[in-house]
Amino acid sequence: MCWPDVSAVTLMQTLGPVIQWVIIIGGWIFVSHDNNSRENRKELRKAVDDLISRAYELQDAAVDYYTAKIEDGPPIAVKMKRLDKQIMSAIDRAFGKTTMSPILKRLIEVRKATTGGDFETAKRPQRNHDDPLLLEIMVEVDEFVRSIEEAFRERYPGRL
Amino acid sequence: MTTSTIHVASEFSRFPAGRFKDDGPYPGEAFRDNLLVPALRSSAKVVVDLDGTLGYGSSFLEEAFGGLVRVRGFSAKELRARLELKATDPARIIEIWGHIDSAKVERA
Repeated sequence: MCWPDVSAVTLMQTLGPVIQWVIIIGGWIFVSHDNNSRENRKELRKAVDDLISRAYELQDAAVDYYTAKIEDGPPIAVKMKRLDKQIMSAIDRAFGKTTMSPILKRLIEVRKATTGGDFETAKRPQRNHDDPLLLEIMVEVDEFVRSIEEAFRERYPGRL
Repeated sequence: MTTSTIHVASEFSRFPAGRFKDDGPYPGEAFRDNLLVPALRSSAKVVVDLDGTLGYGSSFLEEAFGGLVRVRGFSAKELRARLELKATDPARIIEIWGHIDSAKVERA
């Protein structure tokens, strides 16, 4: 049996362009994937920042509500309910509505702290800024923000 | 087997607020006593659609739903079997079941 005489040079001449194309396409796929991942991360970070800023806005509104005179409360209560809806939409945009997610569990605690008890009742007292309820609201909002950051880190671990 | 559906926004108010009847026109106590309890007394199953309102305070929800156990003597087990909650916001449903499960009967 007689094999054709294929030298290394001929082999390289034949395979060289193929290898070049493999490297080019592989590189393009890698760079494209990396860019997409970076863009997705940027978009999620933006959504997360928006969510966190609304959470602190709700906290501020809740403090204003409970320290306001009772007759000044209703417009702030409306603002709080609208912020609550915006927070739910922002969670949906960022992470989707996962029924049992830690973020939703923390949101429920924020809701209970900000709008539970004597919220929108005729007997709500005008509270001082060091009232335990206001401190409780701040703790719950901080825990909520922590759960959001944790969810972000789970999605994109090890990146700052 | 009869099923009643209560659309809070159209049958009660788009602006539910407060806990007790003294708190305003659409508090949790009024929703519970005027709509929820009659529906639970007359139908085997009650569906509550929570969408379409400005929003809810936890005080309203606790009085309306937790109050079914606390004040009206329904058991959480019975409500689990007969009450269905609908809302685009899943946290709202979890919260309401939390109020029902943690409510304690108030009567002496």
